[in-house]
Amino acid sequence: MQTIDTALLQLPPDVPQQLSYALLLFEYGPPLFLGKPSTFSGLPPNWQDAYLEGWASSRFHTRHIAFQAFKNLAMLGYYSQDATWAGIHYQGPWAPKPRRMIES
Amino acid sequence: MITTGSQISADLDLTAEVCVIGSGAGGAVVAKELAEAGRDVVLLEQGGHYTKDDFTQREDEMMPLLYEDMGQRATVDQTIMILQGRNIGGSTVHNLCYCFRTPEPILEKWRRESGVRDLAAADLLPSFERVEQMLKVKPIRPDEVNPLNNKIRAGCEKLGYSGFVTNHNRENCTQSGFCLLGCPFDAKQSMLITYIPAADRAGARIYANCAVRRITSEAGRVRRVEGEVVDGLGRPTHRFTVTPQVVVLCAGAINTPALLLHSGIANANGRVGRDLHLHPSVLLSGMYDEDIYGYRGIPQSYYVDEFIDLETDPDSGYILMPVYGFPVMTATQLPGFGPAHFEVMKNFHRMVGILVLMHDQSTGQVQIDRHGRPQISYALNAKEQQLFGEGLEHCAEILFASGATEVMVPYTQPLFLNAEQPRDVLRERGARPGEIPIASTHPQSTCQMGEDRHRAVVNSYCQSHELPNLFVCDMSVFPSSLGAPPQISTAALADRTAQYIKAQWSALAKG
Repeated sequence: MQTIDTALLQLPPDVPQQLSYALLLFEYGPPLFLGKPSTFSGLPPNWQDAYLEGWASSRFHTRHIAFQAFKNLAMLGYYSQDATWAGIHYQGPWAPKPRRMIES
Repeated sequence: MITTGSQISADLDLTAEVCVIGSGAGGAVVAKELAEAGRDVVLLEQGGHYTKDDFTQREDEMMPLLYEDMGQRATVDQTIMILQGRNIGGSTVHNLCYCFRTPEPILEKWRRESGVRDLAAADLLPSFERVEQMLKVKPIRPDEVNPLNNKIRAGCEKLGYSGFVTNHNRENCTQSGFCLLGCPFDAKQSMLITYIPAADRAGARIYANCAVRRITSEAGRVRRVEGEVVDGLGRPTHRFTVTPQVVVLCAGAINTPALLLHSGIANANGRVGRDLHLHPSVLLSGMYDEDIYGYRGIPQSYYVDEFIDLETDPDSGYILMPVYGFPVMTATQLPGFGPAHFEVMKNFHRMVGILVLMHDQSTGQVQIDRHGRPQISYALNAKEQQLFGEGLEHCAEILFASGATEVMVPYTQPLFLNAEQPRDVLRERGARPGEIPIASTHPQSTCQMGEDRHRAVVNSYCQSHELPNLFVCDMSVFPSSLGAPPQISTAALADRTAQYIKAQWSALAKG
């Protein structure tokens, strides 16, 4: 989550705001988009997949874009973790390098 | 001296003979050439100054440092991702080092259609030679071609397709493969370690973390450059102004027109930001039974030119190029999610990527929002959507010819093909924006060069038609799609412009 938080800080200030609205719509959208009286978090896994698929393939531009944004952040959060690399045969950095803090 | 934002503790009010905005393949060259000629140069870069010790080889740490909008810059409809640098050295710090001179048929087209003067290959030769010497351009050795590129070469040779191993600007390359995240070994001869240090040695004052917000003009001349010193997250900390005699704008084909539009200058003919070309690209991946580890070694060394013939037709065609990504880049480009997505990712080390890069006639536009930020639109025409399909079909042929067991095309609903299945489905389906990821690393042509002041933004020497002490020196000035990787063309045009400014200095500095 820290990786995602850091990423959001790098974006223009209105983008995280838009993402937070989209996330609210996503979480509370199953009654509207799926006809299920539940939040996304409360759906069983197979319905969660169906719900995600609906967002991914939506003809509504905003839903499709929101899905891609959520997916990009999720992939950043997951695949930037060293612990995931062995599972995909990624060997990681060539050699440890000195790191400097990003100016903040 | 290179000054970063954290070293600036008060507002800045600078004077200079030349203010260069942007430190990539255009700006770094101009700054070095003019500083060495004795001009008092201030070079402004919106991004930070990062060196090999900062390049940790990790996507999560490097993307925010080296890429505009963390690599998430895109067209307004989000169908085309546009990757550009934002750091000292610009995109040359993360690029993949293809080195090509400007194709002569393209130069001829620019002379014929846009009236650009003094731009034959012979005219550019001194600039090409100076740039190539500085960047240590040389052929990639056969033993430096990595397994991913060798798969594509083998497929092309089997099919009889034309291709070759290219030149690059690396010296003593360790072949770690982390080029996209900045070279931690200083092997990549980017502007960061070539022209920028030379400009520094010649006395140029270089400021990182200084984002230009506006250029002001008065009485037909540029007068001031205004902006904000920003921290690592882009938040303003101080203000700065530069009062120069000449401004050279080198912020790239998206930010350059955005800055001109926000400043309300150099756009009497309404052409600033128009005619955007992107060299858009789509890719597919082949799966092999053997380990490839495509992210190791020189990422791009082979180049397939079978489907572009600029001598015969300078207005169409496409190039095929090897492509690879690190885990996050790959995962975001693959369609789908969940277990099916992970099943594909498990073959990460056995994937070979190949992309179709379009020499595009389709166009787009850069406009600005109320904050002055660029808003990018682009309409991929029907012919090029279809050509992408043809290109994807050829990519699949190449991968199967070199032993791929399966090819995955990243449509929204991914398409998997084995060697026995017909590939013409790709030609029929093509590539429609929104149905397949499209990316661009070469935005260009938004402030075009030409002698007709009603059609072009700058003249044959990249000088504004309206403001004689304003020059544009980046890929914005290309009068058409280049049809080749742009690094050397951009730097050579910048060198040529710098020679012009040197020669015309006494006239330019008046007023």
